[in-house]
Amino acid sequence: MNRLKNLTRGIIEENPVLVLLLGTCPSLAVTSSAKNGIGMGLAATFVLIGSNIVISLLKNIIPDKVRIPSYIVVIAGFVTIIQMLLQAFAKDLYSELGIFLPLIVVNCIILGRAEMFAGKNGAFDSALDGIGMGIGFTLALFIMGTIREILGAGTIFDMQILTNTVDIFKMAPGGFFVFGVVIAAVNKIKKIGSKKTKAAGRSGCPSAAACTGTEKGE
Amino acid sequence: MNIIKDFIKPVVVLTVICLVVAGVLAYTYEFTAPIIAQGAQAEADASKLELLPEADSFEEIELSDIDGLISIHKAKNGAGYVTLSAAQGFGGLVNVMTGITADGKITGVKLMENQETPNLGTKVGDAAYTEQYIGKDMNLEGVEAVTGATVSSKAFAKAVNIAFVAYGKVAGVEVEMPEEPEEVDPLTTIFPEEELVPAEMAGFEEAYTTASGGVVIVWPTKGYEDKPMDVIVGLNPDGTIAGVRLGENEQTPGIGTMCAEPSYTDQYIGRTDTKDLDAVSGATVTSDAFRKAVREVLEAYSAAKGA
Repeated sequence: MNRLKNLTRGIIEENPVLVLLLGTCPSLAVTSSAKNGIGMGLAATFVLIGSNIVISLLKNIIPDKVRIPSYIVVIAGFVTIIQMLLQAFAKDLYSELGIFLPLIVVNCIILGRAEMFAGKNGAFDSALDGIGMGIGFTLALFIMGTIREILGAGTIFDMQILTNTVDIFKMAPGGFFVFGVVIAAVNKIKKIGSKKTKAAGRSGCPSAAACTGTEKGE
Repeated sequence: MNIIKDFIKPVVVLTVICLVVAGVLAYTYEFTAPIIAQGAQAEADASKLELLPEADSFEEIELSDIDGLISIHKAKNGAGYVTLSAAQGFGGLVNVMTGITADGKITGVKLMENQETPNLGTKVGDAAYTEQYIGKDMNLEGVEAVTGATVSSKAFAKAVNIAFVAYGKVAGVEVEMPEEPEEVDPLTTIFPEEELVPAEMAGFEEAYTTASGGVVIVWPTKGYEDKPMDVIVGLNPDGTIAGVRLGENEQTPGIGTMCAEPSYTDQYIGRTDTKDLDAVSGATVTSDAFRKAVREVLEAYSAAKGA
């Protein structure tokens, strides 16, 4: 069942947002409502699956020298496609996501998985990894979006359920707070505390060399 | 160093990838562009009716050579016009749709495509801001900007001005654009009717006299953070203060520069001393420097006169 592991790994065990701590920017920015959270998650998943498959297919052709630029061009291509599709068929979501839609190009999850997985594995496995990570991303956004929407606006999917709201949850500080709490909860569920595998952590990210916080073996 | 492997292959591969991606994007664009355009058109029409509810349907009027005007539509039943105009904002063009009745009053404004900062500049799209415009005419009197989003607000207002220019052209009405307030030299406002004649006075670098015996002195001093400021003191023939003004200065805009406000400077009128004067809240250093300067002028003046 090793293949299936590729799929399920991204959902809880190596959830890109809550465990690998990748893609935190959109996670905080578009989770003021559950609907936007899901929308962003699905858009990013589309890109993730697409780019994982294509990069995996091309991995033996792309010379190492131009690896990163090639990956970026492919990823940017997929992001642009989803942008055009959303603008044509889901204008509301397109407007809500705003600048964060094109910013999917620099979402660490996508480049991170391309480097860590798609560049080294077969197309089918990469697709599964993309789906799994995408589900994990969407799930994380959905959880955060729901909590922030209920506490901050009193609504869930635009249906009013609470009238006493705490505005700060709609704003950045509230977002960080919810983020921290959810990460803590997931850690508890996984019972791994502070241990992270090397491949999953920050040293797996292509810019790890430039990152001052990355210690050896982290 | 294998020439092919190290130089040619990477370039070729990257170029091919770029070409293929570009091709796929071009195809997707071709296929989505008409749908996007249609969606935009439907949104615009619905928006037009929202802004000018008494209209029935619209026909476009061809109007070029108005800077910033994108389109103007006339209501077929003569209820008025709806314009789409744009002005440069913070992140890009701020597009505004404006509904104007046939007699020149705004029925509504709406923020359209823009690149302003989400939740800050985009607040100019909120009802709290746009509602101000309803009922106003071309002068846009009393419209207040959104706090912290001045550039976006100015762009919005400018777009509405452009709307009025277009309205003026099609309705045959004279449209006055609000003028930028003229810069008035504070020096001339103390004795407004009189001409200032430069005078040589002991102890003062820059001084003027007026025909009726008044004196205006410009006293350079240092204010907040030792930044320069000119304090202007106008004295009546009897030695009492006719008025004080803040001249050229490098004080903090909106804070130290509030010393220029009449609410502060009016306190000085008619006095011969500077005791018990209120400072400007939050601008203590500038106010104190100002007051000290006025006191120094008074002392130097009585020394020059009396001695």
